[in-house]
Amino acid sequence: MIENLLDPVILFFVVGLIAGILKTDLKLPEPIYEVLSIYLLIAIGLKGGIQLSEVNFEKIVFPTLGTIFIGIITPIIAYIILRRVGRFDRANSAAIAAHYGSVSAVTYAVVIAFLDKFKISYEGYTTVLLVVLEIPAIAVGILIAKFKASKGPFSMSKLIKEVLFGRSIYLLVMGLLIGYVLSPEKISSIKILFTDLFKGMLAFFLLEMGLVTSYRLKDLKRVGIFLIAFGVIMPLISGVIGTLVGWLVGLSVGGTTVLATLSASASYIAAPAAMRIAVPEANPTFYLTASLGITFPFNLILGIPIYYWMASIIV
Amino acid sequence: MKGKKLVNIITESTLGSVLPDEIIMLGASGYTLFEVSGSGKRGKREGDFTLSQNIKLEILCEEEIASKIIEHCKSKYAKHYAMFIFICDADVVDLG
Repeated sequence: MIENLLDPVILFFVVGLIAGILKTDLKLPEPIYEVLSIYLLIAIGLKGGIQLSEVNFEKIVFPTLGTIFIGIITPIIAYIILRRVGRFDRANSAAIAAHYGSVSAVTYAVVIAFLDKFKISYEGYTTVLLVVLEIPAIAVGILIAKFKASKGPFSMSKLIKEVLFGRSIYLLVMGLLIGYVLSPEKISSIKILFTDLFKGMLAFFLLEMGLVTSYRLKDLKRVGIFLIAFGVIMPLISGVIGTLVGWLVGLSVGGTTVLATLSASASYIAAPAAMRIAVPEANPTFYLTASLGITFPFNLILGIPIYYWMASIIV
Repeated sequence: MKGKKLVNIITESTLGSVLPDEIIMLGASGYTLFEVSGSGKRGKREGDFTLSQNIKLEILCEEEIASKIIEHCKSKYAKHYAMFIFICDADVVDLG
C-alpha cells in the first residue's frame, strides 16, 4: 500500500489535490488538458491494439462476454442500493447508477501503470474490455432513467450518438485499430511518444485530476453521509464482481486486477455528459461528487492495491 | 440603421450541441456562441471540464422571433438547466 502511494502518478494527483484545497492559482490551461486526454486515449488504444494483434480472437470471447455481464449487472445493483437504502428518487438513482456501471479510462491507465511497475503480467487485450464496458453501462443507465423517470428533452437517437460517437470511444477504438493493423516495426517510429512518455504524461494529467477532484470536495457536505459511504462501498462490491468474473473467464492475476478495477471505477466524463442530457432532473452535484470526489481518489489510492490483493487470493 | 433585438442566453455547455440548431429552426438567421465562465445563483462555474462549463449565445433577430426563442427555452429547458436570458435593443449598422 505504502509502495503504491510513493508513485509519481499518485503523488502528482495529491499535489494537484492539495493545490486545489489551498486555493493556489494553479490551473492547467484547457487546451493542454484536451491534448493530454486525447493523447492518453490514443496511447491506451495503441497499447491494447499492439497486444491484441498477438492473441487469438477466441481467447477474448469469454472475457468480453463477462465484461458485458458486468456492464449490465453493476448499474442495476447500484440502482437498487441507491433507491432502497439511499432513498434517492428514480432520476438520481438511475443517473448515479450509470456512472458506477461505466468506466474511467484514467483509472484504467493507473492500474496498468501499477501492474507494469510491479512487473505483474496481464492480458494486453484488456483495452478491448475497457471499450466494451463503457457502452452497456451507460445504455442501462439511460434505459432505467427512460423507463422509470425521465422525459428529457432529447431523443434516444441523439443520446446514442452522444455515447457511441463521443470522442473517448472513437479515439480508443481507432488507437486499437492502428495498433492492431501496423507491424511492430512501423509502430516503433511513434513508440517514444506513445509508450515511453506515457507514464510522465499520465502523471501530468493526474495533476489536473487532483485539481478537479478538489473542486468537488466542497460539495461533500451537501451530498450527505450515505452517498459518501456509497462512493467507497459500491466500488468494493463491483470490484468483487469483477474479480469473480475475471476468475471465471480464466484471466491471470494481472488481468483479473484490471477487470476488477474497470468494474469498480466510475465514469466522470462520458457518463455525466450523457446523464445531464438523458436525465436533466437528476442533480449533477450528486453523481459528480460521488464518482469524482470519492470513488476516483479511493480507487487510485486504496482500491487498486485491494483489487490486486483480491485477485491474487482467488486466481 | 435598423432596430432589432439582441437575445442573450447564458446556459450550460451541454445545451451547446442542440440549442443553436433549434434557434435557427425558430427562424433566426444566425447566432454567436461563446464559452464563458462566471458566477450566479446556481453556483460558480469554474470552467473545468466536468459539466461546469457555460456558454453564451447571442442572437440578433426580429422581436417576433425573439419571443419564440424565449418561449422555446422556457418550456423546454428552464426547469432543469441553469439558464439566464436577457434582451437588449440593438441598432444594426447597414454596411451595405
